[in-house]
This record gives sequence, structure tokens and C-alpha cells, in this order.
Amino acid sequence: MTATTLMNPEPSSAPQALEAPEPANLLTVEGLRVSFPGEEGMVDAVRGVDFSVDAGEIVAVVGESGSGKTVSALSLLGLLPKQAKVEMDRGIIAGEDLTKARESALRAIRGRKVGVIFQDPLSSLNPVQRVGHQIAEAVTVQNGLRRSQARDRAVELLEQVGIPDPERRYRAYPHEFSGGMRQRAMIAMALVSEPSLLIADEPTTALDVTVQAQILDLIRRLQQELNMGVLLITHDLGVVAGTADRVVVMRRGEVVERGSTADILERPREQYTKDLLAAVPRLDEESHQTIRESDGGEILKVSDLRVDFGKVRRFRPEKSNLISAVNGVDLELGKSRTLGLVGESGCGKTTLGRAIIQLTRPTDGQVEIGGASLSGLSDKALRPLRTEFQIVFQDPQASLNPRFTVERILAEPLDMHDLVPGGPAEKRARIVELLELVGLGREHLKRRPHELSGGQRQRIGIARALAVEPELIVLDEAVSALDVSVQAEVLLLLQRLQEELGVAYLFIAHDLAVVRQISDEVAVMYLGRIVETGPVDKVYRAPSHPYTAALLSAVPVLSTERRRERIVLKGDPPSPGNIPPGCPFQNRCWLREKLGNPEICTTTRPDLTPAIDDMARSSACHFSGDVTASLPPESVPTADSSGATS
Amino acid sequence: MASFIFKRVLATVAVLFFASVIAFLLLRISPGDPARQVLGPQASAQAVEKLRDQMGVNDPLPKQYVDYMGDILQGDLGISWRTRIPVKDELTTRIPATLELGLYAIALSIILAIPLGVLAAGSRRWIDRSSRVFAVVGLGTPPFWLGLVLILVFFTWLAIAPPPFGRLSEGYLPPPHVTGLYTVDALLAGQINTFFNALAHLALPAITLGLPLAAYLSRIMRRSTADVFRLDFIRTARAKGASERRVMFRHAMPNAMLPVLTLSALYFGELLAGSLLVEAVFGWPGVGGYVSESVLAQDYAPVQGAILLGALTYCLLNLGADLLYGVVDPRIRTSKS
Repeated sequence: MTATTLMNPEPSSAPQALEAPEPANLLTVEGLRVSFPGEEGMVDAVRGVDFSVDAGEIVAVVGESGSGKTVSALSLLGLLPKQAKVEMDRGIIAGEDLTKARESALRAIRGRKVGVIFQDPLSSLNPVQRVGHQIAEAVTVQNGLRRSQARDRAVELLEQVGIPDPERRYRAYPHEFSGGMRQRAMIAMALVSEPSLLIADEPTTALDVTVQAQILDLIRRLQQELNMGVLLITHDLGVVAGTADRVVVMRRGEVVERGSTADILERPREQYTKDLLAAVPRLDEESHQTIRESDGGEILKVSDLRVDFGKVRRFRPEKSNLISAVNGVDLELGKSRTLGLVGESGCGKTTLGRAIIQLTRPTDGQVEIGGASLSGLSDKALRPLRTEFQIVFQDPQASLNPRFTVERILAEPLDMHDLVPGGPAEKRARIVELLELVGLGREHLKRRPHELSGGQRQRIGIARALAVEPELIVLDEAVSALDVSVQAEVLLLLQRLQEELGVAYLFIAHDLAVVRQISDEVAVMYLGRIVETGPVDKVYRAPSHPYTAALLSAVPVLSTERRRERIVLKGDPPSPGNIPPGCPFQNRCWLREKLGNPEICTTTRPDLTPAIDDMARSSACHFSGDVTASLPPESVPTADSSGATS
Repeated sequence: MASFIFKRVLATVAVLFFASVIAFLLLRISPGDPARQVLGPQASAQAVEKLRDQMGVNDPLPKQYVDYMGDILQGDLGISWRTRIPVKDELTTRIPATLELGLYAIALSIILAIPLGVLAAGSRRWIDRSSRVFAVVGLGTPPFWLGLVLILVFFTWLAIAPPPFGRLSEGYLPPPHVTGLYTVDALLAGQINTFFNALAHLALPAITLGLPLAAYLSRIMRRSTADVFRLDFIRTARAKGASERRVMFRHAMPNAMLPVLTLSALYFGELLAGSLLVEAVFGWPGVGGYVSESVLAQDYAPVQGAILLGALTYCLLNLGADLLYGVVDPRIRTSKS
């Protein structure tokens, strides 16, 4: 604490905190305007925004992409590209007047009084420098310490942000860290001179939900220890709910609404805020799928599917790098139904989706689509069958050819499979029909992908998949890259299309709330295996695998009670190259700890077995019956308090 | 790592085999008669035929190839029909000469290109403009012409450069042979005067050879520096409060240099090939002159030997560049181990 006061030149903050209850103001901005040069003159990204942060409080700036939230925050420190024009009527950070500050003055503020962490910790770290050196560099820059001292301070900081074995990790390179550890290292770097203000720009957006929970906990802990103010930039209202004291809602470069977190989330005044809240998929809301009888029969049957990467070296086994990305998966999906496939990054869900439609060839196992076995078919034999199954990818920008017009993108599958008899007029008619099916129209025919919004691009991706009238569409994180309001529209579209066309979806996603909303059944994947599967509402209400419970518990929900007890998983998912014998989940399992570390978990690998009382559900846990009963109260937002399965 | 090098050595052997076949066939396909070249137009047909038998060029091609490979595997590159000097002896002095010239040229071009590219990527427009002019001129100028102009200016007019002939001025003896690179050998032997004389002789040809490459690499460096500057970790460095200079030299440059290093290694081979004309202009006793004279004289052995050694050099350089890349970029290091 002494270090903080020593490094804070303005005398006001520390003594005041002792006498007056009034917290020190750290950041005040009024009339902030930022513009960038565009094709036709300057484009305003931020137009007259005010906000402030006091010591010891977390202020969240929320908004969808293009709202100017990140630009606002970075402009204060001069971290925008040089072409940006930044103006403000009044701007004070930790006692420094920003309106008069030149680049050198801004640099003196950066790192010393204000620490910054960014969205993507991998690209935000220098790839060719050791992590420790990058932190030590910040120490040197800020405190002018000698090398060995800087090193000691960096190790201390790594320890403080919860990186195990910091002495050894000091020498690691960024690519040797997991995503969560990288963000911890970024936080360590930002804390070097114990700044009074921390700007966190989407700090958990690139992270898995269990890791997100850890990082948010860490930010809150450090904020209290160091009595920092935090300016939290995020698009995720769930993150806001559990973290922030006050909220500023932004849209198109302007502040729409501001207030305490409770006011904004529970009593929003502006229509935009209401719409935004309504669009957020709710974890505790029943599936939107209409209960309907499956018209019988399976469209997809997967049995014992395996996908291996790397190879086994028979003569030098220590050099083997065989990884089973998908390790013995069984799945069934009924006609015109939706199966949600969830799991953290690296669990193999994308590989499984690609292996099912034979974009990646499985190493072993059977895939049947519409009764036809795809295993062992040549590429040529598969081609006519591909009209049965299609895929929609995560990034609609990257998965559409930028040089093609919408018409050509949609004509391609029609031509390849010779689906439209007749001339160009008939083909044009079919393309327009497809566009209208996904809520677009004739006016989009001649556009190219960059002339469309993100939501429109994904609609084109869906239309392209629908062109061949498939029975099954694999949706691989198809709504993850979209803003919540657009995401809600696309989800509705998908549901409408399913009702009209009877297509079945394999819906791969990391967002559990979205999965609940759209799915009939859900399968939870961990390290290449399915660990739990069953009807989505039942699984969410009473999870029967400790991993499912932990995932559900980690999801931030739109509730303002800040200290909901959570199951925060330790560590990161282990690498699929290094799976312990026995249960793959054992070293992160909270239930095993609670049950006094039973031996069976470390010796016997649990198979996916149907529950005794409900044949529709399966779980790969030796103690599946104990999961729901062992949950800390309120730790899983969806859990049925009235009583779960015994 | 060991297996990586082992694979590369195997690949090198394969490359050398194909190079030997091509070198062997090309010469024998080309028209003309080596025996006639040796004996001159006045010699009788009988004498020519006799010499052809002695040379072995009357044998069927497969037998010739086997004989030739057998010699090579015993380390015998043959004898020049033209000069009567064993090819191996000639190459052991000529290869270091060419290599030394090439190394200085490439070092010069990297030393020029990196700061020039970095500065051109910076905010001052006039530097970028001047560096672009330099690039256009540098790439558009034929090296031999540049060489002639340099000789005219620095030797004829200003008289500060040594005469454009050989690697050392008259009165200097080559330093004791260790590497064959005179500047290195002179330093090893402590002959400072010889070192500076060798350096002076290297200066103009190295500039001639290195300048166009410097022009090219500076544009690559500019581009890659500008690309790196857009990356997130540059913003992180600024957010730490690092000065612009620190951002540039600690964070941007090491990353931006990667493509320049790869390209310069790839272009080193080109450089050696391009040294032929420059060697002619500066009377440099390198491989280039030797090969061109031998080709014209249908002198098989020197050409074959030079092609083989050229291929070997090229392979080794690429291996070196790959290894160097691993040193600079830790991501590659781990993926290989």
C-alpha cells in the first residue's frame, strides 16, 4: 500500500480517503469526440460522451460492436491509430489534464497511473519475447529498477495474479501459455506500478467461460486489494451484472443510458437498453423449442467416432504426438430436431462437427446420415451425398469468398449439384427465393460480402447451406461472432427455418444460454468425449456431471446479486495429449474433492451410461447421482430448487 | 532437432544427385566438340578423334556418368582441359573469393535495408519518399553499369579506391589459408594492413552487388514494419508507457526482421549467380569468371564441379536460414522440438 501512495504524486487521494468518505475521482471525461478519416471525410466514431470513474469502483461501458466503447476508452490514453482525431471538453485522469496533454504527457500516464488490459491476450503479447521479460520491461520503464530487481518484481507479480510456478513461467513464451494464463500475465503487466485506474477492454471475451470466471474473480480481488478504479469495456451484460457498480450503455458513439448496475439491469428506462436486455439469451429460461413429436427416425447416427491428429512413433515412443481430438463419440439426432454440442475451446467439438460431414476424415468409427453410411466413401462418392448435409461456419466474413457477389455465392451450390432445371431465369428465381427465406431480398443479389453487415453475411451463409435442401445442417459457432441483438434475430430465423423446412441442426457452441434456447437435446463435451447428454431442460435443471454443473455455474447471468456462490474450476482444461488415467476430469473436479477423493476416479474411466431413472439421459461420471445434491445452493442459476433427480 | 537436420541432409543429397545429372547432361547436349576446342581449328581429324578417346567422350553416356560420379565420390572433380589445373585446386581459391564478396554484399544490404525500412515506415514522409526513390533506382540499375560508374568515380576521378583487379594490391601476399576469406584470414594472422587492403578491394564490388538487394529488402522491411505496427502487442507496449524508440527497436523490429532474414537467405543464391558480371567488371578471381570461360571452351569438368558446389552452397545456406529463423522466432523452436 505504501508503494501506491509513494507513486501517486497528487497528495489528495490518500489523506482524503482517511477522513472523508467521498472517494477520489480518478477519471472524468466530458464531451469526448473521436473521428477517423473515411472515404468521404471524417467519420465520427464517438460523439460527445461523458463518463467518470472513482477510486474503488468498477464502471462498465457496454455496447454492441460499433458503439464506440473501446475507441472511447483507448482514446483517453492516446492508444488509437495515429489517424484518429480525439477532442474533449474536459478530461482528467488521476489529476492530469488530458485536454492539454501531449504525447509525452500521455506516455507518462500510461502504465504508471493507468494500466490497460486488452481483449486478445495472445496477440497483445509480443510473440518473440519471454513473458517474464515483457513484464520486467514494464517494471524497468516505470520504476527504472535494475535488471535483477525488475526480474524479482515480475516474478512477484506473476505470483500475485495466480500463475503457478512463477519462477519457471517467467521464462516461457506467450505461445506456451494457455489463454487464461496469458490474460493473467497481461494483468500482471498492467499492475506493475499499482495504477489507480485499470482499463479492461473486453478482458474475458476471448476466454472460455470457466476461465472467464477465474479472470473476473482476479480482477475483482485485485481491485479491492489495491483500491483501484476499473473501467470495464464489454459487450456481455452477464459480465456487467456480476462485476460492475455502475453502467454506461453506449450506442453508435453516444451514451444511451447510465446508472447503477441494478437500475440498468432491472429498471432500464431507454428502449434500446430494454431491447438489448431482452436479446440476451437467458440461461434460466426454458428452451424455445416447441415440444413436438419427432416424426420418427434418425437423420444422424454417430458411433464410436474417433479423430486422431499427429502420429505414433513406434521406435521412439517419447516422440509420439498422437492426440485424439475426438475420442469415441456416440451421438444420435432425430429428424428436424436440434442437438446442442457444448464445451470449452479445445474440447474437440468443432473437429467432431467437421468429422461428421467428412470435412475432416475420421480415424475410426461410423457416421450415418439419413441411413447412408459415410465411412470409407471416396471424395467422389461423397459429393452427391453432400446435398444431405451442410455446414455454416463461425466467421461469416472469412467463410464467404470476398470477390463473389451474393448471387454467385448462392448459385454455386445449385450449379454444382445441378439442382435447378431450366435457364438463368429459373435459377435467379430460386436464388431470390433463398434470399427471402433468410429474410433478405432481391436487392442483395449484386452485393459482395463486405457490403453486408455481420448478421446479413451469416444469413447468406445459412442460405448457401439451405440451397441444396439438406436434411442436416452443422452450425459451428454460427452465432458466436454476432452482437446479441443480431444473434437473437438469427436464432429466431434458424428456428423458423426448422419449423418450415424440417431441417435438423447440430448446433455447436460455447455459449450455454444460446444452446438452451435453441436445442432439444444437449451433449456436453470434454477432452474429446461426451460427458453428459440428455434433453436440454432436464440437463440444465439438474446436471448429472460435475463438469456440466461447473460450466453452468460459471456463466455470468443477468442478476445483480454479486456474490452468488460459484463453482470456479481450478486451472485450464488439460491438453488432449496428456489425459490422466481414470476419469479425464478428475484433476479439475469439485465433486471428487467433496466426496473425499474416491479411488475409483483415478483408476477407472467412467463410460457414458444412461441414468437409472431416465433412459433419455446419460452421464460419464461414477457419481452422477450425487451431482445435483452436492451443488452449493444457488451456484447453478438454472437448477431447480424444488427438487432435482435423486 | 537432430531429425530435422538429418532430413535436410538427405534432401541435400537428393538435390546434389539431380544437380549432377543436369550438369552432366546439359554440357553433353550442347553442340560443339571439346577436343576440337582444345586442339584448335588446325588439328587433324585423326588427332581430334584420338583426344576424344582419351577424354572419354566417345564412351556411351551412362558409362561416362558412372566414371564421372566415381571420380566425384573419391573427391576428384577432374582436370580442366583448358588450363590443365585440377578443378578442385581452382575452386578452393575461387569459391572463397566469390563467397567473401557475396557475404559482404549481403551484410551490407541487410545493414542498409533494416534501418532504412524501419525509418521509411515511421511518421516522417520525406524519409519514405527518399527510400522509395532509392529502391526504384537501386532495382532499376544494371549492376555492371553501377560497377563501372563506381570505378570511374572512386578509382579514376577520386583515386581513393584500389585498381579494379584482384583481391589484393600488388606487393601484398595472400594471408595464410584458413577459411579462404582474405579479410578473415588476415585478421587471424594479425596482418592488419592486408586486412584493410582486402577490405578496400572488396568495397566497390560489394556495394555494386549489395545495393540492388538493399533497395529490395528495404521495401520489404518497410512493409513488414508497417504490418507489425498494426499488431496488438505494439499497443500493449505503448500502454506500458514505453517510449516510441523502445516500441520500435524492442518490439517492432525483431518481429519485422523475420521476413527480411528469410528473403535475404533465399536471395543469397541469386546474388552469387549475379556476381558473374560484377566479377568480370572488377576482375575478381571468383567462380563466376571461371565458369563462364569454361562454358565457352566446352570444358566439362570445371562447369560440372561449379554447378555441384553451387547446389551444395545453396542447400547449406537454406539450412542455415532455417536454423537462424528458429533462433529468432521461439514459436518455431518449440514446434520443431
